[in-house]
Amino acid sequence: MQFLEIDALTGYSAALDALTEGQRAALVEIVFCFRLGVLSATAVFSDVETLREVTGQVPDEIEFAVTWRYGVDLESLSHGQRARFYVDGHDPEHVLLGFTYSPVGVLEEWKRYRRDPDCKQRLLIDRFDATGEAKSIGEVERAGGPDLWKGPLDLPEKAKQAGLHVIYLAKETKDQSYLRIFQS
Amino acid sequence: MAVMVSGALSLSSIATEFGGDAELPLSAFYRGAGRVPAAGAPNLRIPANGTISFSAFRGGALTAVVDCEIIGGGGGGGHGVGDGTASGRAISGGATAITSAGKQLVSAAGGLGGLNGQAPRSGNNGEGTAYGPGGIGGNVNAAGSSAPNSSYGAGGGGGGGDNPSTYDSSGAGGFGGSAGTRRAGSIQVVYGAVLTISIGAGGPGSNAGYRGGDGAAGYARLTWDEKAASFTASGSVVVD
Repeated sequence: MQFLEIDALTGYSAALDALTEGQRAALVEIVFCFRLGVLSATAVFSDVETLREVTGQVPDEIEFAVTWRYGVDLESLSHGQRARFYVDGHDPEHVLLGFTYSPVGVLEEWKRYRRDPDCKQRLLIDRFDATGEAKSIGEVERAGGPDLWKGPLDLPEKAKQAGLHVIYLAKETKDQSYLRIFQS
Repeated sequence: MAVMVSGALSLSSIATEFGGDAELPLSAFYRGAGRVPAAGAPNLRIPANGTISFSAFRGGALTAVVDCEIIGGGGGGGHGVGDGTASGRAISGGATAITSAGKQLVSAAGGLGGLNGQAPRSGNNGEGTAYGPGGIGGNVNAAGSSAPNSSYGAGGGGGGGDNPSTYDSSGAGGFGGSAGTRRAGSIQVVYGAVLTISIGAGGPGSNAGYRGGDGAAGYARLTWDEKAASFTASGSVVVD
């Protein structure tokens, strides 16, 4: 599944806009994050080679993951930032796995997004340090209506006008909201 | 082929129809005495004893031509899934068959079960037949419908899939079941024979995720002379 109307989303993330034509063609979805007033874009590809082309190098946890989606927070790749990568969960209960690396490429933290068995629209996020020691369990992120999105209000509108599908998500206890955008 | 109804009639033509040879006396062809079947409308004028004449054999016949219309059971619908795709397929419908004295005379295969989790988001409809539509495919997050009972041999609807709700993938729907094979033709059976009709069951829908609908059972209709018998469940009939 490719984005046919990705041009509609230009102007919101310099890193996203900087992707080559081939990299843009390989996108399967984009997740915008509005975290503490800052907008960032996670590019999601269906192949690790495109991811490598974008990131330069791919950590082992990502390289060898059993996944059909490879995501990277493009803004987190900037010099001095902690890089954030995402892959699919390893079993049906876990939707997603996220990995955060230090500026020198050392794994600092990983998290898993668990399905809430009682609510299809909720995810429970468990965080672990590099050794697998739990740091927090069950942080809630939920999907819902447009009011969850605290970033640029025209962004989801432009996506929908371009025929893209939008899912709104937000952390329950943090000022973080997300827009998952993909081809309908 | 029945004994001729007009023109000159010989003992050999009677023997050709019912068995034996022209050396036999006419009394060897009493109805129900071994050569001429006791049953069958064309044979009712042939006496079982007493006076017997050549003319009584006009139109008499050893066998009946039974016109058959049969269809196997419809395949079950495949199930839909919440995320991604699935493998395998629902159970196929059973075959409908007509047998006599343990020998299968004709059969019609059941329809193939629908594939699980391979269709677009909504489940596909089951395949319909000459008797009616298949089961309706399920919408997103819904089971597929079973084929109506009167839609003999029709496939069950595929179960629906799922839209992404958080960061999960979309789920594929199930394919509908295929219709059973329908056959129409004729068979020849000796008057008085018992025909056993085995009606193929509809394949059950795949019972996982968003369930597929059940296929409809098969059907059989037999007609001979001016008689008819219909079967929506297994049974038997005497061709008399």
